[in-house]
Amino acid sequence: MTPTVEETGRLRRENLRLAEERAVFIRYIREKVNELLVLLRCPTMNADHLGDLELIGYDPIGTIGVSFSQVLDHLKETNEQLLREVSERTRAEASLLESEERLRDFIDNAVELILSVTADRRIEYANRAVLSTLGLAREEVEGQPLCSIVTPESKGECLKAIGRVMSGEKAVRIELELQGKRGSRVVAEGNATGRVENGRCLSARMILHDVTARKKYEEEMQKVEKLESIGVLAGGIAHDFNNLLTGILGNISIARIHASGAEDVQHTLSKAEKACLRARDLTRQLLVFSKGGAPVRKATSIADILKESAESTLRGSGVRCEFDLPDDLPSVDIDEGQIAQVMNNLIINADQAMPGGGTLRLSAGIVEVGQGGSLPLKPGRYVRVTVADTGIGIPKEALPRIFDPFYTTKEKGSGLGLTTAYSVVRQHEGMVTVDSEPGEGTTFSMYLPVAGNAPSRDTKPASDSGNRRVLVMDDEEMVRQVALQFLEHLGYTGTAVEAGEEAVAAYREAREGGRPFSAVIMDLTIPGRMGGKEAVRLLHDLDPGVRAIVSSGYSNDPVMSDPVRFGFRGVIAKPYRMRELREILEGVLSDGGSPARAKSA
Amino acid sequence: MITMWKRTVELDLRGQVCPASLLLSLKKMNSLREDLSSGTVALRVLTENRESVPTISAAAASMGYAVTVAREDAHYALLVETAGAGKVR
Repeated sequence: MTPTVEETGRLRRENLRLAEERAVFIRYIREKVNELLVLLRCPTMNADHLGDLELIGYDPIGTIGVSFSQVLDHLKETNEQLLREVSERTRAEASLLESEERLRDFIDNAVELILSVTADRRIEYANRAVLSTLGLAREEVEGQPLCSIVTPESKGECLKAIGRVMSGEKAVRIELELQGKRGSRVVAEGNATGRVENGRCLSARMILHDVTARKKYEEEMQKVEKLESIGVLAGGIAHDFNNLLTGILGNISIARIHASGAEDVQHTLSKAEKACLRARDLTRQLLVFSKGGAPVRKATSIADILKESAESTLRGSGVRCEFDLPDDLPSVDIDEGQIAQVMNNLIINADQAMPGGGTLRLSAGIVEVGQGGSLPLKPGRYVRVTVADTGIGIPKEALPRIFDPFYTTKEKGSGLGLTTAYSVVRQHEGMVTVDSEPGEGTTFSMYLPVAGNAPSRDTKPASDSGNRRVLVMDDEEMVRQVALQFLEHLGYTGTAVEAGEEAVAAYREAREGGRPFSAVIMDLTIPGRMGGKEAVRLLHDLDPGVRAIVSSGYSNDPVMSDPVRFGFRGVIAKPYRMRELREILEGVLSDGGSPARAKSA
Repeated sequence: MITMWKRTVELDLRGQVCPASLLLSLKKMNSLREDLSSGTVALRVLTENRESVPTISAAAASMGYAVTVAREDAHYALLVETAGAGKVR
């Protein structure tokens, strides 16, 4: 059946419409494929390259779609990988930061002095110990030249050591002296190492210890050792010297008796005696200085010492001296020689503090110290002696150190004057305090214990001394001679021996013969033979009631400060005068109880 | 650990130009996806079309593969393999 013309026309129109529709689809597909290809950075296609059917045969959309899913997977994986890396890096950075913070903390809080110096010798870093040691702020140190915190004396050695580090030496021993604010100095030693990058040393790092205290201790130990040997020497000299003085002084006393009436001779002898007494004081000072011997204490008027000390020390000085000493001041229990030395030291200091003249005020008064007071003193009554000057005063920072051994602000000071004062007064169970205002003056206060109710020893006359026999033991011929002459003059019968063995024999013999000795005076040390310390024990075995007196030129022997513990009833320091011998004998013979002490004028 | 030997699959696209050569390469890479990723297979693409070389390389790289290009006589040989070459995944 042949289609009608009408039918053919309709089919043609239909065919045309379908062809147009197909073209629209194909154009759409090609456009979309091209868009996808652009995304894949592929040149776009045209219909000449690839026919429609061929294109469809390649399944472009399906293929590109699957490829995109591969691209997506890859991107996802890459992204995950990146995230892992980022978190790994963040963790690493945090841990690095923490480790850096920890190290910085260690370094900054270390007690060691830690410094880093650049190639041009500037301080790059200084830890807290450096800053606090020097009393400087961080900005006053970091960025500054190293030489600004090193003393000129140690600069050379320090720069030399850093030069060695910079030129590649590994660990270099370094010693330097740092100086901070207000001139404080610190000796430090340790190691320096270099920070090397690409073969070049960029900075030197130093870890140092503060060895100031150790150095000072070593120096002071050397001084102490030197002083100890001087002390031994001085002690030996003082002993011999005191024996000689005993002879001289004794003979002068006897000469004065023989020359009674001759006014001019008396006058000359009196001057000689005074000179001897000064020589005796000098040997005592020597002992105090060298050994600081235990005080040989007795009740003494402090007012006399103050007056004498001021008079002799301030002679020729432009300083005016005022006294405020009450008449009823009680006696103090002191070693006169030692306390006189302390007073001299304090007055000399005051005088030197007033080079342009001024007023020195010496006063004394009673102080009651109760339990739990602010002063580290045993409760009781004390005499407070104050030495107040109107001088230059002591700087605040020096105040805590003035009693330190070897500390001095004077060009030629030994640094021992106040140390001696302090230790002497402490040995008297007293104390020294200081109060000072720069530009206003300084006041030293010395607390000394009031003497107990010691029995008065110079009241009893030597009534029945005639029938009393006294044994004297001394290895010095001159001392024996003088003692015998003194005894004779005082009405005693004296016998002299050289050493302990003979003393014991003589004592025993006299007892057995019915003519016992009433008292024995013995030298403490007899070189090479038995001295008083041993002899008194043997005498006690013979006669528990023995009245022994120890006599020595060494005031620093413990026997001299505590004779009873060693079996003696009394103490007399050589050299002594007749009056002192009389007093001690009367004291020892009058009672059997407390120990007696010779009173020196 | 299991070690697998790599096998090479060759795709000869000589005589083809883009985008046909790209689409064929993509199709191959899609079908070999598992083996290429695991590293048991490497794809060797041969093409004479200069334009196709960067296009195929870039597409392969976007999918995470490593591509090495070699000039052989009158054509190019592109070796597409896992980024961790020889790595067993």
